[in-house]
Amino acid sequence: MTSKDQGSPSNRASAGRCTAMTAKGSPCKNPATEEGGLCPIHQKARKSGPPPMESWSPSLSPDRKSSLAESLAEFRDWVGRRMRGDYVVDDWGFDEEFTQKFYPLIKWMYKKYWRVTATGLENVPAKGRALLVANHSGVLPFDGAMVIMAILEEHPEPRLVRALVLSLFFGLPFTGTMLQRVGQVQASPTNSERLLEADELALVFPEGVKGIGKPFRRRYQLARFGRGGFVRVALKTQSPIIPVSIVGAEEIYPQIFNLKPVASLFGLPYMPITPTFPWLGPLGAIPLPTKWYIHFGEPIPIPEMKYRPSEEPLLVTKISNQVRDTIQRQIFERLKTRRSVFW
Amino acid sequence: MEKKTRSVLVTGVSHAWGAKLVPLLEEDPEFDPIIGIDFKKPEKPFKRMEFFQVDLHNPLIAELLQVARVDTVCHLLFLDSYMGSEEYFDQNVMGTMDLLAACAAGEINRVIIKSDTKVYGADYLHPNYITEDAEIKGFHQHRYIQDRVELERMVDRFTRHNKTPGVTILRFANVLGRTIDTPIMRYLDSNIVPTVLGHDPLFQFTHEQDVIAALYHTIKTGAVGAYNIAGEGVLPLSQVLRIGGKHPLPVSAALLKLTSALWRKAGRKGVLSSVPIEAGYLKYNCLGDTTRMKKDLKFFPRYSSKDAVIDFFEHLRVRQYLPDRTAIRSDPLSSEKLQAWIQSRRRASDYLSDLLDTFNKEGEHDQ
Repeated sequence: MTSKDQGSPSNRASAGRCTAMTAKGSPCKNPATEEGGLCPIHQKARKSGPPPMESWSPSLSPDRKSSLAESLAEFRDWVGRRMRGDYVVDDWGFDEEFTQKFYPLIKWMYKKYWRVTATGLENVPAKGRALLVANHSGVLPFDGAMVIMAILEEHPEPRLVRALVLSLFFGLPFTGTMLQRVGQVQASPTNSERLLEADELALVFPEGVKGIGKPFRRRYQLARFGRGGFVRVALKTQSPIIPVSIVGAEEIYPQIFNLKPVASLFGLPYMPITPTFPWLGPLGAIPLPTKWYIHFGEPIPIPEMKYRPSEEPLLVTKISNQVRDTIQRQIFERLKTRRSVFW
Repeated sequence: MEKKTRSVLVTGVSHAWGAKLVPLLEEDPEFDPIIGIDFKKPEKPFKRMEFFQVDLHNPLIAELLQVARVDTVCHLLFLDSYMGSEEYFDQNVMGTMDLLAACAAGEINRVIIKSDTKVYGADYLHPNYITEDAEIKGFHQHRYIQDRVELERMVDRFTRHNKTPGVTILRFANVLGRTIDTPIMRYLDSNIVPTVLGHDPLFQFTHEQDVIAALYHTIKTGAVGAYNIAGEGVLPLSQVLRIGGKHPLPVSAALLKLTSALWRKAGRKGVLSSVPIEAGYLKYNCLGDTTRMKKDLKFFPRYSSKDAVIDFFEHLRVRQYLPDRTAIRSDPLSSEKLQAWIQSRRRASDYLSDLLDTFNKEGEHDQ
């Protein structure tokens, strides 16, 4: 075997290298060890659990049919691994193994419940950094989850989008931990810069609470776009902005009234009263099965930043307005052809 | 090229960190002389370090620094305690202030101070990775964090008013190891570990060997400024406990705070004093951004966070099977004495036997 390997130089070169892919998607150049044609780094990665985050592809998650005994054994192994603490959490606290357990449910919401139609996916780059900017609505932030699902399910090269979630949610017990484990990141300029510098896809909702908690009568009217922080981050990291419009999320919880005193009592940003919510108890918290449309617009290029600080505020306002107008226009385009909220 | 030697002064050589760092410096001929100060006598003798038993308030330190032409001061003397104590504050904060004043008076090149990433405080409003320029706003419940925060603020004031000496602050993430004792180790060292219900913060860890390596690296190179030092990667607290096979006991944050505060007031040592970490740090992340450590300091820890955790728990598991060393260990100083005595005897007997040999040889000549 070894003599055959040493026969031709080209054969040796390919056989001597690690067969795994690196996190950046290029073939690993490290020399392979004897077993399995992997370098020590990848062997370790294989042994210690799932492959690195970037190669994460949800389509690999088990759809296949297996016998009961097999799935039981699989489950036993999973529990064992979890109990031994034998899993990897990435720099942002994203726990892939844990997330995969929820994947079928969210997929069902995406495919069957809200029947999301995603368009313009060719505008999302397969590699490199980009900042997705979307309109925010729907009382509970399901829209973020659906944008993430759109990229994972429909994009030719699925990537995990990191949604930047209002820091307030990270302060809440259970919610904060949960958000981190499924790959969400607390919204702050430092965090978004760090994400984009690492060439990730980041998703922001510049409207923030003003968008998500707005009353039903003001649906599809974009709220103020924060203070333009997202533009500053995009300028600094030179990442293109992709405007994303979400139609359908506004109607999942028609908020008639915002009970502010109760909200401030519990330290929440808003306390929605919907036709069903407090009246039907937990049943009222089930979102309505509307039909969703997500459109990814053409990237808005970010001009090369010449170091002239006096120009920056003007540029920030200009780009911020441009992004806002683009999203608003995309929403109206869709609303023009939409015949029913539910179909 | 002629190799220059530098004079180094290390404080706290009778405590864990100093006692570990000095032997490393002694191996390096670049550092000569090495001076160590502490307020109590060291347990083990050092090879070539000169030891002075002085406390940091001593005005003679300024003169010592000048006479010895000290180039770098490594300030490691810090007393960890989670019960408030005026004496500890006096040593930790006021002592550092006096030391810095002495350094400013002398011609010191650089002062290196060991600190902790906990000084940033844990808060959900912080970015995930806190850079070194962030505001120092650690919590004020536990004494050792409070002292560190006060110390850092004082050092900050000092550096703003004094251009020399340069001050280097190394902020270490939770330190784990085999031979030292840190709050996080005390916290993880019981079978049932109290945690905060609904929260599972991410933790960074540093191995004790990396702490020593980082200190040595910083003394060796000329870096100035603040640096976060932590192993690669993060772990959720729950994963740390699972790796260690510990049982988490989720308690509400208010209850945890209340009980540990009451217990501290009562001055008891018991189950609850094993919560040496403030509830806040068990709720939210407090992670240091290590970009500057890699880029500017060019220091790369050997242990990742996970490796440090695994190493620590391996040690914990084996520890219970080890014989109790402290009970039977002989006094190192007296064993040193014994060795000296044996050597002197051996030399004497060698001398005698040499004498006898020569005497015998001379006898042979006579015949």
